[in-house]
Amino acid sequence: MSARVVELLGGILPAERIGAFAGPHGHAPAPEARPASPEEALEVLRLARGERWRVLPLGQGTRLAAIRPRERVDLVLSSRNLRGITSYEPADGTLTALAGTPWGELVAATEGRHHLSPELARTDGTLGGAIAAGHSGLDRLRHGPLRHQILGLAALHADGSRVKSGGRVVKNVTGYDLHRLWCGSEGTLCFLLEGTLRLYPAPAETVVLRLAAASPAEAVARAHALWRAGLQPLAAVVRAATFAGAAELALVLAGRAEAVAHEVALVRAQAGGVEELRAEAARAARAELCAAGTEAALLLATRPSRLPAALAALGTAADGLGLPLRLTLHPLLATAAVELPGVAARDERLAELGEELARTDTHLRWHGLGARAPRPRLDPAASELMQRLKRSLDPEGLFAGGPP
Amino acid sequence: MRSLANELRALVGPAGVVDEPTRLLAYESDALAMVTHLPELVVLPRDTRETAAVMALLHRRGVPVVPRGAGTGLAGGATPVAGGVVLSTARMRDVLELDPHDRFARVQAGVVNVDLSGLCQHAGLAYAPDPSSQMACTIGGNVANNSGGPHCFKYGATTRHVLGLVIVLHDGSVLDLSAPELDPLGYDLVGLFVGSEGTLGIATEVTVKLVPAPEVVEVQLALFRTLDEACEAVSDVIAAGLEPAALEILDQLTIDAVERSVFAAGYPREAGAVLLVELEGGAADVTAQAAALAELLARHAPLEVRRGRDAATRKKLWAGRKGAFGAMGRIAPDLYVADAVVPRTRLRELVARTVEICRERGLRLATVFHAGDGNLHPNICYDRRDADEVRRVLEAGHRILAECVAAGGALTGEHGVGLEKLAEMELYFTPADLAAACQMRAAWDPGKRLNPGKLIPTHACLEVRGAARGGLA
Repeated sequence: MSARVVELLGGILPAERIGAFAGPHGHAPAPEARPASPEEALEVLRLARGERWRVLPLGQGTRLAAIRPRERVDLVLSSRNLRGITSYEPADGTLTALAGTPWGELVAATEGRHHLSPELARTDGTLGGAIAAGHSGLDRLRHGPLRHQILGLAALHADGSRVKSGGRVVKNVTGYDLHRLWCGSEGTLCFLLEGTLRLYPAPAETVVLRLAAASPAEAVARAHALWRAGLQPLAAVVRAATFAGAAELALVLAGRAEAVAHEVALVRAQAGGVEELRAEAARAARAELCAAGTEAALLLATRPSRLPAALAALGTAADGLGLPLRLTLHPLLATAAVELPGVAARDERLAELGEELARTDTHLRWHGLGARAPRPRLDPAASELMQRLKRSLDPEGLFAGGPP
Repeated sequence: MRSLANELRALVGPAGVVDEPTRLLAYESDALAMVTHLPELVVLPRDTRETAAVMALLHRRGVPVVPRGAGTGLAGGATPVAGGVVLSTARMRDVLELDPHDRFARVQAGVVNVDLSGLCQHAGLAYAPDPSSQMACTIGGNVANNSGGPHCFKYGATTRHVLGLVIVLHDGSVLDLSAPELDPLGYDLVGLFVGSEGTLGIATEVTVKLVPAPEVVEVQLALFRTLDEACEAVSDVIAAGLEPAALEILDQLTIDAVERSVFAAGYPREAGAVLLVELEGGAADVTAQAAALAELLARHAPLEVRRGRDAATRKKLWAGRKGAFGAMGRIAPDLYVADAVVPRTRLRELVARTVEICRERGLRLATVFHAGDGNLHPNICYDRRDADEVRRVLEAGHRILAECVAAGGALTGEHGVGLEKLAEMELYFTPADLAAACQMRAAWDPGKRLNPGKLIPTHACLEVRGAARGGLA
């Protein structure tokens, strides 16, 4: 099959735009087409549809661990050669780029003038990949998830039509928000071509404060107390190497100098032993926080008030199973990224941990387990509607996979 | 229809069905008064269970359903042009949960926007979207239209504030998307539903995000000689990276109307434009921002700048803006409230074009707009009894939209498409875009019974689909 796919691709793409997808994280290897224009991408989809192939759209593949492997993939369609900034309007606070543009290129283009949200650790990932994976970054607490920053998208649908949703203006309710459907759909509905982002003014000042705590629970309690006192950080992150041991609360304060100074004073008034990082040290600390927890095996989400109970349940279950934990918590968003150092993806204890936590009021997502990851619990009516959407927009199943 | 009314009464009680012709008149249109059509019946369920039973019955009978909140929409979205039954959420008025710690509220769809805001105040929180009609409009209606308002400049429109929904689908099945999920499991059905103008289902419960009420708020109101000067000041505010909570402009005719009304704010006769800027945050931050703003405004040589931090002064400064639409009743019997968006860098140019377009057609224009978002509201004065004037108004409205789209803008920033902008949808979208929208809609409502004749041109789902098939043929 692969040889035939490569042979037929050779009829429409030059050799340098045909590669091989290695298939990490339990995904199957497959030939990879790397079109350099929307027209070439359309040609590839036209061929794939005619041959009844199953296509996996991809950026650089930096988030493959989070995606359940498809049952069948005949061709990977990568946007990595669709790159470039179509327009950057600093005075308007908008940026439009092709889907394969690396995130780092967007950050570099806007540096000093705008803050690009989400603030991501991996700058080699693409705009389209971030959108398809439903990314959120370090700054989510203030700016929200990436899907809230997308003003408009263009994509190729399974029938080959080029479809636009939204636009390039900061406020727009014209027509359905199909782009909201595409965000986070993991390439099961369309191949993304181009996206427009809303930008925020770059903060004049950024300070990172570090506070020591006796345990993750204590660090979470401190963060919640500061929140109730009016603190509005760009990010609040708790890190702990073990469940029961010491933890660190890091607060990223960003904005106008006066606002940051006020927030620093507020934190210092409520807590002793505060380490204050500015300038390059703050920048390095922020990058480190961005990267924290990105390799986690398990992501847990709940409400802020229920986070302490969820953590307790997690600690008890992990202790009982003898599983080591490393935690990265966002206490104000009520999420926990749980790394399990030294635990193999095939370890049966992971399934038991999942079963224990499924009894609590939390939502779980597993990374890196491939097809072994437990399926999320979905409202049956929602699941059925998602299947209808998939059938309606991609009736022949051109794009591999579908909703959970 | 009488037997249907009786069956509906059995589901929602006698007070939940309206079928007397005189009472039906209240439902013949929303705030787009140009188009009217009487519904055959109106049904007012009290909760999700009743709504599901009503929808299942209407599904079996094949009856079109037009969802309606408070009927304050300006695009005809709640006008029953295809007849059928209007389903009103007016009896769904309960706040089901308000959690100050986790900062969210779960409400029934018929809760009035300003009532939710009032309840939040006690907890030191706020519900950010604040459409001009917030005294009457409902949260469910806001969800249907992805409503905005002055403070959406800082906080974003309704879609950014909806955490979850309970939706009754076309056949009466219930979609419970109210779980406290940060990110959707699978496809983002909530994000897709917000702004779908009642064509995908009926939202019966809405979970919304609440934001902390600001510690300090300051309003600065600058009076300029010309609209152009005010627009130029707005460009500088945005370019300077100031982040106000609201940035609003009123033009000369609006000022005149306000001054002749009970909302009179004491604007000087020579003022050609009012720019209203609201800053909020911590005390130190607002003080610094206010100083920077005052300096910036001074560079544009305004006639006068008024400032205020206390609630009474702020209310006074906002009075002219808040009362603008009511005041326009003084200058014309009818008002066509247009809604378009332009890139903020082209605001001055497009505002000037709207003035020209109306002048060319002998129409009087009173403009109020959310300058920070590039969201124009050209309000064209007319008399609905004058057929030629109505024709010229519609022509001007179409022309304004066409120019905004050509400049890289969009058809609507907050009012929605409804009936009003159906024809212009083809200015903005290609046949393939519209066909994709129809395919998506078919997954929710295969019979197209929900709010028929709205949002997507009726022919788009048939003829356009054929054209779009060319892609892979």
